[in-house]
Amino acid sequence: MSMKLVSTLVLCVLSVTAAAQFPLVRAVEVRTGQRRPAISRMAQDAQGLLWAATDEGLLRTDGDRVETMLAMEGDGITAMAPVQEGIIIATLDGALVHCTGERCDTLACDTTWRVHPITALAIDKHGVIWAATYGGGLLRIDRTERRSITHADGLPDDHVNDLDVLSDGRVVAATDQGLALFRDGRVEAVMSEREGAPDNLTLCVHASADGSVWAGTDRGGVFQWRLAEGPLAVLKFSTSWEMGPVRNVLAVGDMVWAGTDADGPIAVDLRLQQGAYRSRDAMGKAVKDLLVDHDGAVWWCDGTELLHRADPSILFVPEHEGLDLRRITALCTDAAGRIWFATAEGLFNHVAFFSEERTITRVPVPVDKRAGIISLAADNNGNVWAATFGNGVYKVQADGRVKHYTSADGLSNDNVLSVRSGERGIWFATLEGVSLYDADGFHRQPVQAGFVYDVAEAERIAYAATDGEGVWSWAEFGGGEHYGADSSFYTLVRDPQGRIWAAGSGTGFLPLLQPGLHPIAADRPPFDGELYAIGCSGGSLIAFGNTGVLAFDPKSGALRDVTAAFSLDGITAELNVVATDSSGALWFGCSKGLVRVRPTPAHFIGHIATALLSARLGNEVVRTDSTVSVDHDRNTLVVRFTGLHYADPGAVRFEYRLIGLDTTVNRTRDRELTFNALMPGDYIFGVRAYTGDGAGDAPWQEFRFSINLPWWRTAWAIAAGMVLLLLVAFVALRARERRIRYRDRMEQEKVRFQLDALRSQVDPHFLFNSFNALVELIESDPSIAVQHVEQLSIFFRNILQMRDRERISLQEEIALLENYVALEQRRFGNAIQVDIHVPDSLQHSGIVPLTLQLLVENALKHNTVVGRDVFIISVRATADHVEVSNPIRPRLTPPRSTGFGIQSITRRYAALTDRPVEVLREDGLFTVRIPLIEPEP
Amino acid sequence: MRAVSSTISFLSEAPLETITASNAQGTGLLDLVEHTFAVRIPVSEFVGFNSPLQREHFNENYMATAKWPSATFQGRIIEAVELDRPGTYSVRAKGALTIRGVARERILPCTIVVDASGLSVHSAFEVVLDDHGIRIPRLVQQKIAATVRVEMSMRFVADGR
Repeated sequence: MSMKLVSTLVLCVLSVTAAAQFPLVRAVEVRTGQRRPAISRMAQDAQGLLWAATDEGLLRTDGDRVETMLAMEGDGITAMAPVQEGIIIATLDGALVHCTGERCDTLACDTTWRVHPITALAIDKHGVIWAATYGGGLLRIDRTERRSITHADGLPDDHVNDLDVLSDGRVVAATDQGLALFRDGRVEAVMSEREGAPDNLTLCVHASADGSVWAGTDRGGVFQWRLAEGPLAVLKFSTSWEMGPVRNVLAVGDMVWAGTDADGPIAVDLRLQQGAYRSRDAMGKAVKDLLVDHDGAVWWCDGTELLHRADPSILFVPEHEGLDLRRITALCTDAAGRIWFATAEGLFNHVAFFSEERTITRVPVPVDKRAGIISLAADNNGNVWAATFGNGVYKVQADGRVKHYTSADGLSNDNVLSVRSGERGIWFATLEGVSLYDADGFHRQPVQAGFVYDVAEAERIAYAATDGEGVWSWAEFGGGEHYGADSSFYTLVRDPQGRIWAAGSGTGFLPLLQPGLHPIAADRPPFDGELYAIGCSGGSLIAFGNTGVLAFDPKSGALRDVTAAFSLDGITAELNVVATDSSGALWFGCSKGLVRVRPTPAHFIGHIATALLSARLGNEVVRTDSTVSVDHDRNTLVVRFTGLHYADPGAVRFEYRLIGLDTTVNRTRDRELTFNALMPGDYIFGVRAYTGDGAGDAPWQEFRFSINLPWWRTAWAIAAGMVLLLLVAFVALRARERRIRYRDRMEQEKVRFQLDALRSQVDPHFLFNSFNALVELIESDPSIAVQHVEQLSIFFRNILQMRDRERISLQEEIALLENYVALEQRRFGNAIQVDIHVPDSLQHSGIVPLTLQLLVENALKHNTVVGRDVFIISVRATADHVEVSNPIRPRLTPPRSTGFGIQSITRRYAALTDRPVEVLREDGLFTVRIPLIEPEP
Repeated sequence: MRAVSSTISFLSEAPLETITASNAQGTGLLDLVEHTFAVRIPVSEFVGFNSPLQREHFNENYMATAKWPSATFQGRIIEAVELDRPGTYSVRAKGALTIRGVARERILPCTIVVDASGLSVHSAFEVVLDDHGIRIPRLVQQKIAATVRVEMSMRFVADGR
């Protein structure tokens, strides 16, 4: 049953012999210095850069520059596959290596891989690495385990040549005994000769986006395995394949590409199902690897230093069946999908696909060399009209009959410049105005211009592009406008919104909406040179000229220079040789041949993929996919980036900005930038690639980083510093305050001491006693009385003199004491005795004034002096102190205390020295030991 | 199975000269169960050149037989045919063809004729000299073809195992 289905699904038999037609191929040379590496494998990473496995190692290129990522002698790399970041490669010596732009790391190493080398690698959506080995089955390698799937697990053969991962996660492997499909590591289905495959020996496999599997075989060519269609079905390309082994296969959109051993790549357009494209330049060359890039272009390498890129969006047909297609004078497409074209040889048509088995049909229209066909149009009734310059028009009917009309039939002039199909009929632009042909024959139109290049009709309004008189419009029932002043317009074109645009050399695109509107892009190529034609494709108007090709989107107003993208520089052509076919492709006849332009939206967006390759801050590599924060001394940013525009790598320019530094957007051609001495702060570096005028609203590729403040400028450090400062200030203030308070206290103390001293000295008792003694002396011995008064006077003067001083010498104090004792002895007579022993060496030691006097006075005040024994007070100075001692003979009635006493002395000494004032009561002696202090300076 | 007799010949057809030589000294092993094989040809034993000098050049200049004395081809038979039944089979032998020390993976078409006493293998294929690092001086490019056609016949009998 399945075999029957197989045979009914055989699509097309290819007998490709030779074909000149092939999508435009550009070669990218991958060279490091003078050497020419032989490229054997390719991969494109997620950023869009191409990696090439060569006999010199692993190289990486953006189409313009080449970097050696891993140097390696010989063909050491057996397989490669892109991963999230960079690629992984398998080497002949049994290692799996992960390479990014910065480094290569070995993921796994196994000596069995030397015996059974890894032939292919693929990564599934879970990040699991699948490896095909030749002899060792399949390997499933994830972070934790390494599992092999061999013949014992249902694999048709342990010799696996290729593998791929389907979008649903299933894995398909191409083995020496057919294809095998896995789900979760178990074999789900097998496709070998028994199931209908053309050959068991499958060399390559490709899981296409639509869920089917394409495989290339050793001698059975290419076949498709449609998994979704229940029973297995094989869609063979051919019953007999003569192109030898297919080493690589790819399905891209409607194209299937096969890489052969000796005939280069072969491309088959499945939509047209009518033939294959082969590159004449690649004939006789082996395809080592095939790749589809992110733009949908197909790459192959042939073992040289070149990477070839075929752009399916542009196709050149310079000649076909010996007919030179570089001098086409008129072009149109009809409802049957045919393309009609006229050259000096005559009028021809052909299906809108050129391959060997399709032949050109010559249409029997008599061609006068002096009056060639310069315009073609197909009407709604299946007729094609051919306008000649000098010989009227021919109508080719669907049945093949040809009718001829000239001015004799009512045509305004036999020199017709343009023929167009409109709503009301067929319009003719001639050297003498415009004619309309409808069911009633020819009608001369009321246009005022003589020389009309082109004519158009929209919503029953007709337009005529004239030579030197702008564009005239007139409605069916009267009324009209004039546009474009006195310019010459060669062509009129209708955009997808139904509006008419006029254009000529130097005019730009002029919208015919209302008079007085400004033209667009008048000073840009191709309007700065010769304009040939404007076509409409993909919603854009495309203007062709000898200085360039410009695409204009009437909706958004965007302009894009597509000259380089379509390789259409320096062309020459006849006027208005352009047509759009049913597939939306634009056909254009020029000096490079018949050109088919099938633009993708990417051509008009003009966005170029921008890749941030690396960033270094302070000479250390940082990640660009997350915000990075570095120390203040790593303030130099070196950033590398590139724009991926393989159609024209040299035209890439960049816009960049560094938000945080300033907000300006700069432009450069460089692919590396250095920013020095960046201040601490948050930055966003943005870059985007562009070609032509500017990046427009293309998204920025951004890298965020921040440079930290030095630690001493961080908030916490500043806070801590301030706290410390406050603390120091606080401590200092406290100390100062204490000092002031102490001084105040000292001052008070002194005043009080002086007051006390004074008060004690003028103690009424003392005065009373003194005066009593004086009275006695005046009576008994006046001379001694005088002496007493003098001594009293000296005593008080001394007190007055010394009270202001902080300290005095021991000598002075002793003198004062002796004076005082003399006074008191007048009173007590010999009952008291003061023994003073002060060595000469201590005469100049310091002492607080009146200390000794006070102590002696105290002793006299608190003790009974009169008695059997003489009351002896001893004043004795030793090395560091002076001692005043007296026997304890307490009075019966304690004296009234003045509050002044030893306490006061103690306080004053405490302020002056660390040594204490000692008060001792022992052996019946009361002793006060006063420390000697430094004398007054 | 072991090879009991073999003939390997090559043909170089260049514009100015045609060179042929053959060799009967090849040895080989064939495992019918595993479908694997190994063939070894002593390169210096090729005879039948147009002149003794030519043979000397072949051995010394082009093939460097002192350094790489033999050419080998080892691999396996892709098709799952049962080679113990008499008949004629067309199969593909896939393996590493090593000439002058350079190994190339090749898929060679072979015809196997199985009879009562053993089997005969016949194969014809082409060798691109450049693939194996055999450089032809510009002077003699008109005399030596860049691609050499090789024909090989071997008879295998069971070796008792």
